[in-house]
Amino acid sequence: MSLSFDAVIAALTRVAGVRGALVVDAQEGLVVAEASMEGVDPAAVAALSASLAGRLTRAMSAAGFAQPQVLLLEAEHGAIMAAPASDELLLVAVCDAEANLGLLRLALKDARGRLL
Amino acid sequence: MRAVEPWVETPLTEFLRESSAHLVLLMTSSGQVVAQHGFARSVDVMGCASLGAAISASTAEIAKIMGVGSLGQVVHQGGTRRVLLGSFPMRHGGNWLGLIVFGDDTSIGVVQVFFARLANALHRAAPVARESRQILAEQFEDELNASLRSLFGR
Repeated sequence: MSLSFDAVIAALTRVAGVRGALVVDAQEGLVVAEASMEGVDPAAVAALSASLAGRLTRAMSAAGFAQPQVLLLEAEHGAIMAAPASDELLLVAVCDAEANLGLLRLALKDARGRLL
Repeated sequence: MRAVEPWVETPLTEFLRESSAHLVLLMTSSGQVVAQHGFARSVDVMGCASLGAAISASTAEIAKIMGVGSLGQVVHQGGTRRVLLGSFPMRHGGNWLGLIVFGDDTSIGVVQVFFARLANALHRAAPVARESRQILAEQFEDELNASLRSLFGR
């Protein structure tokens, strides 16, 4: 993992409740960097998050809006928050239900700024 | 989609729906075709099966020479279409190969994820006590023609 990706991943996983973080190749849905997550398949999270982010970006564009800044998928026991960092990269955080989503959103935006 | 083995159909249908693959060819490591999707001509299936099996055998040898165990998948990045050739073990012994052609409407990551699920599903669905049959060189053409008749209905 490169130093910049290392720092970005570390900043995201420091947020309480975050079980793992990934930097993903947004076009190909491949893992660029990740912090290990027990019980989570990083390759599947990367591929499906990138696919979803791509579709949502096209939907936003069709609605006349710019690229989405943050995507949030909430489930019963946790959530996935993602932020496109550029045309090429997507930041993804996997967190449990008790995670501070507001703080995570700020951390994602800050991380996004470092990679842009 | 056409399959020689009926238990292949459900996992393959699921894979096609999830991966958005354009063309799929499932075959044994010796190039015997098990299922196909998207091919219009039997001659293309024959060519792709032979070449896929040959590429897989070549990459296995390269892996051996490099001392890296095995190269499970090979991805070729084309201009508008990409090809994934992957090998996976089957319950009744031996390996099967999947040759997947996909475009920009999906991604390598998505195809890899659902290809891994397809491999697991086929492994689980395969009959346990399947008789392992050695195909001799002189039988190969007959076997191939029988597979193609099943796949193309003629």
